Amino acid sequence: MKFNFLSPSFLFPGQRPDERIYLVTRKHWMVLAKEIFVWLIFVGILFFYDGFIVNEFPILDTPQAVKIANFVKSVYLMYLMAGIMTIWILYYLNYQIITNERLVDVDQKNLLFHSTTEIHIAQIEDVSSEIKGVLGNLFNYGHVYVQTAGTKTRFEFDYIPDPNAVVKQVLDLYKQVPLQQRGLKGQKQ
Amino acid sequence: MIIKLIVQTVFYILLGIHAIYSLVMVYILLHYGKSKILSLTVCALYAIIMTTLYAAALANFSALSFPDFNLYEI
Repeated sequence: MKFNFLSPSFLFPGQRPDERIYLVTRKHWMVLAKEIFVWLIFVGILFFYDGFIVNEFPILDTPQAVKIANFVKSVYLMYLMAGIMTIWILYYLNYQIITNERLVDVDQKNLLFHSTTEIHIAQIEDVSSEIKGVLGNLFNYGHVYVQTAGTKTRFEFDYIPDPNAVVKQVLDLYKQVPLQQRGLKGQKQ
Repeated sequence: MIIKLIVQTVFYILLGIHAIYSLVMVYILLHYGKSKILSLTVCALYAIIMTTLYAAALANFSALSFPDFNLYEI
């Protein structure tokens, strides 16, 4: 069994030996923090039950009720842990790579939906960025849209940090593509 | 007895669903994760936490006492 991924020069499947990676990015940590915040609300239910509901309803403080509550809480905790693990996996497995030859978008929409999309730098027609919302402006994260020459409409990098710098990086790489190759890659000759 | 059987069935169905879901998570992480070392570490940590919680759930389930209805005496 080969552990190609352990090599620092090999970052994604299909990477060519001479391909130079300029940027590997994933969603901004604030997006992860927002999801963890929602998860913490569900954790808070446990504390709310112990700290408030049990005090308000003395019937829940009887030995039998405590045993039932403990049982339900332990099962609930198992699902909570699965929830935080899912949040982290979906965050970790969503990433975008910019190389000197192409843009690669690795998408894990849910546990059973994995997709990898890539476009050649020469196919790019238009690159734009979008920062919206209070948190987006405060922490400088947003979307990058890449319009391609092919039939595919748009290539999206969602909630990535510093989208303007990413746009600049992509445009700089596009400028390095020879003029005769631009807009032709991926089209029928 | 019947109540215990129902609770036990629901409990094990929930555990089964959770176990299958966890296996899918671990598989996806190990299969698609860029760093195998990080993936293995997270999976090992998750397995330890889940084993602990499973043991706690089983202990809490054993501690439950169910009313014993004898249907033949009604």
